[in-house]
Amino acid sequence: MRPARPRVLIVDDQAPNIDVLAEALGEGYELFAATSADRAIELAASGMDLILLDVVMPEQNGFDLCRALKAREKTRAIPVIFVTALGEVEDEARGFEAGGVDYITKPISPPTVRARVRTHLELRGAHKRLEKEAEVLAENLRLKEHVERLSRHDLKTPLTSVISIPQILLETPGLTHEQTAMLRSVEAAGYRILDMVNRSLDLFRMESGTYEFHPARVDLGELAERVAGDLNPLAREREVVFDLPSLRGEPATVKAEELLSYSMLANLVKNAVEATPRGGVVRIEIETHDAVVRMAVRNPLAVPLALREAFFRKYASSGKKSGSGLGAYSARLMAETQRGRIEMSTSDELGTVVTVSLERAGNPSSTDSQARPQAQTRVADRAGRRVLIADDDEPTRFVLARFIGETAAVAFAADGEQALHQIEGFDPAVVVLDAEMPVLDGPSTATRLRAIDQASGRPRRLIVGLSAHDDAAMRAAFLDAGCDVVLAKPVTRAALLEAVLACGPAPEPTPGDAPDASEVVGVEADLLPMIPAFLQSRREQAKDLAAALDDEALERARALAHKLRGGLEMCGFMKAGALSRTIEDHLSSGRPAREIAGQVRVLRDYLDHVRYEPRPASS
Amino acid sequence: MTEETLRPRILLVDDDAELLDLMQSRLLALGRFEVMAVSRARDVLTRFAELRPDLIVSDIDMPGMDGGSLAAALREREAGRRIPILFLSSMISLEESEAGHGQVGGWPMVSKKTPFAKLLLAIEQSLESAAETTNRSGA
Repeated sequence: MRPARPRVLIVDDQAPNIDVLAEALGEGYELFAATSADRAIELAASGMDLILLDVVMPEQNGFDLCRALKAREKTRAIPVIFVTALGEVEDEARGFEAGGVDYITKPISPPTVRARVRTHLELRGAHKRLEKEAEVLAENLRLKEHVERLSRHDLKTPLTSVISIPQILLETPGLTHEQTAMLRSVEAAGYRILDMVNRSLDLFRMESGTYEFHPARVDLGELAERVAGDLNPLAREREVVFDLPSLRGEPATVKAEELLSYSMLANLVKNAVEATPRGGVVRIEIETHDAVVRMAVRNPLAVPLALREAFFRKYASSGKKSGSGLGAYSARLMAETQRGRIEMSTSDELGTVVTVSLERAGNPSSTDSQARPQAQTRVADRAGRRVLIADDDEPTRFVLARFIGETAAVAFAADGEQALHQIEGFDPAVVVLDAEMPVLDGPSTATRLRAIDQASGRPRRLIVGLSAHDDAAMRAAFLDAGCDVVLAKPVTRAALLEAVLACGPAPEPTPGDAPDASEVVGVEADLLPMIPAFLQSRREQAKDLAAALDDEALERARALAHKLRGGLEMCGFMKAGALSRTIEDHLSSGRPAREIAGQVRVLRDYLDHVRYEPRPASS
Repeated sequence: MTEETLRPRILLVDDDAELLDLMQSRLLALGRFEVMAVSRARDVLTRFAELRPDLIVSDIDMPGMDGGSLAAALREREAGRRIPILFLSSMISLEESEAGHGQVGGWPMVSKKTPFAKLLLAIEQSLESAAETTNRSGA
């Protein structure tokens, strides 16, 4: 709103002095004059760009007036130039102390006055621009945080409906082919948005250092083969050949995340392919050292000089049409997030090599210790299963109820308190709680529900937390509150069903319930020749399971128990399968490892002694 | 094409190598199918053009990419969308699977306890219904 001309205030008790200065400054300014301190402060407060201030005035000297201006919020930032006849060193020092920016001595020289005023106005302008930029940056940061929140919560919740409602509608009988195709494309679009949200979120988290790195074992050799396979169409189109010479031999296993490593390598290889001339070769090399595994992506051309410095920076691009300039940058983020290092060397003779070093993985069982708290206990009576869904979002309630379908009776609540009211009459075996609800949020509801049940001595219900905030804090809040499972939105049908089907207390098998090894298992005749090898591999799995328990690698143990159960059941070893399931359930519900170890011993003993005979294939 | 070369191609997906062998041998022994096997869900995607399955029989709980993600990824592909999937799961009981409960990504779940003969029936039903859809849509 400020007029184009800078506003300059001249303060002097002698009107003629003011005129002299005004004349010296000329036309380029909007000039104001004050002959008293009070008037000077009043005018300054109305908004000035610069003040010329006489040092010697009768009621209040210029230094005091300057201090008064500097003490006021409104006038603090206005630069003050002292005008004085004194010209003594001591006064100059006092003037700067009082907050002046410069000094002009009388008698004034018009060019000096003009030059000083111009300089300080420019400085002031620059300062203002910087302040504005800082404000913009702060605003951007707020915006970014807002966007993150938006993507996490505000987008994911409605996405549940976008993805799920087409799935539900697709089950309607008598849809035309066209209707089916349209529903599928809505669903696919939903998945694409979800994928984009997740990917931008991950990148944002890596940038802000809040990404949670969960290292597992990743074989870089396999990874490189997969990336090369997936990018082969692109390479063929550009007549570029992949060379993977060092992928045979010892596995190059690192501590990393599979998806993150895949993306990282794919980014680098894609960049390399795009930078390679037709007929050129992109090489991927892997070297295993004591503590690290190095993976290099090599292409024959040098990086243009102008780009070398900024190679790993955001939005650095060689100007190729499709490039976002994010490839190398996000590869660097992903390498560093996985506690690795990334380097680039380039020359006209040797071409370009981007090298990623990642920490080598040691003993298989040592990296795998994240127990997933997940209840998978069962009841025999599934018909009486009741599920309460508490979510303030109506479409979400609808979708979840459709997911559950006929596997259980369903009741609804729109907030935590309503949910608690429903508990008594409906007595659900499973309670599904949204994280953010009015009145009482998910974790608080879970805490109160557990307390109520404990007081009345009711058997433990299964509580499923639903969180759009798929971050550790919300998971932890839910788990602390006594939730058994936390599912991230958008919830998949399989995940919800798995949780719901798993409700109820587990039967309490003891080693005394061990399957009777003297009983002969009937095996379908065509399977017979394969059973010895099959049983041998189950014995090995059971042995691995025992070792995983010893190592407290509970998640690995759970996965092994799950495998054992599936395989044994498929081949007709139902009792051993049931025992494996008990072991899996106990691992999921956090029973002490030594208690489970007893059951594993029973299972191993059974597998060593079980007998089988052919039986006719059932129909 | 003759009936001989038109044997349906079944692709088995399971991270348990022993089970994979066993299933493959069993299905191959019938002489009615081409049977291929991969141990990682991701391989289905990367080798899709080469494998050209008519039906996928897949485990659900696998490290890396699980069955649900596989179904979602296939749905994204023009060529993958029409390929029916049977999910073998130990998460649901025989009764539930026979009653048609449990689905992953829109495809049925079959209990791992299902006797082989019944599994065969489910395989044939899936193949037939996929063939019908293809014929109806003229693709």
